[in-house]
Amino acid sequence: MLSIRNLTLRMGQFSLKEISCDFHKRSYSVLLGPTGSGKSTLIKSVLGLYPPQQGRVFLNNQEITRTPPELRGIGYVPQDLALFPHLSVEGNIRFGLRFRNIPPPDADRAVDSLCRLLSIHDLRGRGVRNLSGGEKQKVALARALAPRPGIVLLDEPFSSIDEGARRVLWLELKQIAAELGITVVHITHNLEEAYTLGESISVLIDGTLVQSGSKQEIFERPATESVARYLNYRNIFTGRAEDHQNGSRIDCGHFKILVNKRISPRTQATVCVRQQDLKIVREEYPLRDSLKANVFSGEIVSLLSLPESCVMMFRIEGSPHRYDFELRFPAYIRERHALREGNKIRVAILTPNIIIF
Amino acid sequence: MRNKLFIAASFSVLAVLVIFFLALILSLITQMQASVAVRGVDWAELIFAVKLTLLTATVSSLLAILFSIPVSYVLARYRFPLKSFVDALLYLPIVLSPIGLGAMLLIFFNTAPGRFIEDHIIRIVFEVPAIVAAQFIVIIGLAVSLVKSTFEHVNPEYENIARTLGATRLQALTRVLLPLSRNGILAAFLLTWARAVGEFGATVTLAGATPMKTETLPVAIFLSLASADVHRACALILISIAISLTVLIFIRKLYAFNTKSHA
Repeated sequence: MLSIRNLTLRMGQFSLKEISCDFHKRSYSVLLGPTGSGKSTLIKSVLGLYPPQQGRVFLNNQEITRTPPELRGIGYVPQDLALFPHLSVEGNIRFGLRFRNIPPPDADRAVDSLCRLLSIHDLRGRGVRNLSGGEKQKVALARALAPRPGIVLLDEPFSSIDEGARRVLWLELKQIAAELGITVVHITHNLEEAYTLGESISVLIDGTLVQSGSKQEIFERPATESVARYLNYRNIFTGRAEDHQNGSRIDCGHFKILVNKRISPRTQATVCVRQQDLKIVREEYPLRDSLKANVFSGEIVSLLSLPESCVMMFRIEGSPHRYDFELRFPAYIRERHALREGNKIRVAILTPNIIIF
Repeated sequence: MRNKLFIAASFSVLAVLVIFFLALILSLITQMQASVAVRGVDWAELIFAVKLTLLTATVSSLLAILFSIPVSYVLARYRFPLKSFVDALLYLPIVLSPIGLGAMLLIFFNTAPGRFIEDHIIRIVFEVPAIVAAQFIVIIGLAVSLVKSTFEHVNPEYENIARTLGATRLQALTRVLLPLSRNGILAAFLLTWARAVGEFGATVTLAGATPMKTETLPVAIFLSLASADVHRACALILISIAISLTVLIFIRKLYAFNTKSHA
């Protein structure tokens, strides 16, 4: 298990602030955050390449804060993969074995099994310059795994691979990690990648670890407004709380949102409604209980068709804004409800799913 | 039309320069042929000058490269107090006149530490080692700047990777950074070697101009001109041109190969 405790690292204007988190043994964890949030700096500090000013790092309960990188036994695949251009594929994979005093027959066996596992046996004699993005990624992974580290840190390993190949590699990588029984910490800014791969996710924003938890916790209950905004949740409103028999009502100006939780009256509260938690409702059908509390009439301002979904901007009747809510729903809904810009419709919020910060 | 005029003008300037250089070389050859009847060449002295130049230039440039590797590594990879001052100090030999550098060396060997070196370690002033010392001081700045630039062009992530795979800093340097910088270091060696071959000012100040003792090619050219032996001076200049052109063409080929292999 990799544990980070109160790690603080200042680099010029940027700093990592008191980071504490755990990455459990044999788990596949994702460190998620926007570009420039300090993800790479954090893992370089864990690798021993950037010594922290404060805090401690433990690997399997042993402190490694001041241990040089070569003695930590942590595998690393950098963003640009950085395959050694002066060595062949096999030379790259074997590179780390010579420093670990692994007897040659064992080294041969390790290289053979990794090449088989990653399906790169035919590439062994080739130079690394002319490999495809996916092949390079596999060679970089084999090189990191060859000295048998207990944990491997992957820094945006799919950033240089095209979309189609990337999705195939996600599944392959997760399968390989499970087969080898290693702990993986995967860094990404890609939400889809994080959701697909991560068993647990830690969100780093502007040098601060904002939230850690299961992927459901992160995506369904973002802890802060900054996490919600990073997850692309658009409907975030701040207003004064009012008492209500079923919870509280947040006065957002020209509309009010009823939430199930009790909030002290007259305090400021921020709520977030995910795009998928806003539903189009038709007057002729009865409403589910979870939708009854927050129903709004208005018009469709715009509709944006994406390959698998549709994004709709909705303005509440009498609203001074161009639009108030953003909704996302499967593409077929557009045709089923004959949705057109300017149509008058009703939308309802799935009240139990409202996120309160 | 304007573009064509501009290109034609650029090519014309290039042609003028090439013709000027070729005319200089041709005048040397003509002068040699005209004076060959007057007196023959002292081959023994000429061969001595060539041998001494090649030997001292090779030793000094090898020493310069050996020193420049750790120095450039530190300058390219680390930040430390007074780094910009150290960097500027190491560039000094590139800017300072070689005669000034030679004079500085001469003065140094007249101080207590310099005399100690002369008395107990190696005799330098007006001896062959003085040539190596003079060439070294002139080329070390160039060597450091070239090797440092080569190291800076190698992604430090390669060394980071090597370290996470179990390599110490020294192993990361010898197994990753140096192999990746091989062509750059070789080019630095050839350029500093070529500069050392042509070194005159510091050499003549520290080693003097004693025929058949401290007589390198540039010193021999100077001595020939001083004694109005134009024929010998022409022969020596032509030899220098042949050496320089060979090295420069080799460096260009090396850079072309390097660029192609990194594309």
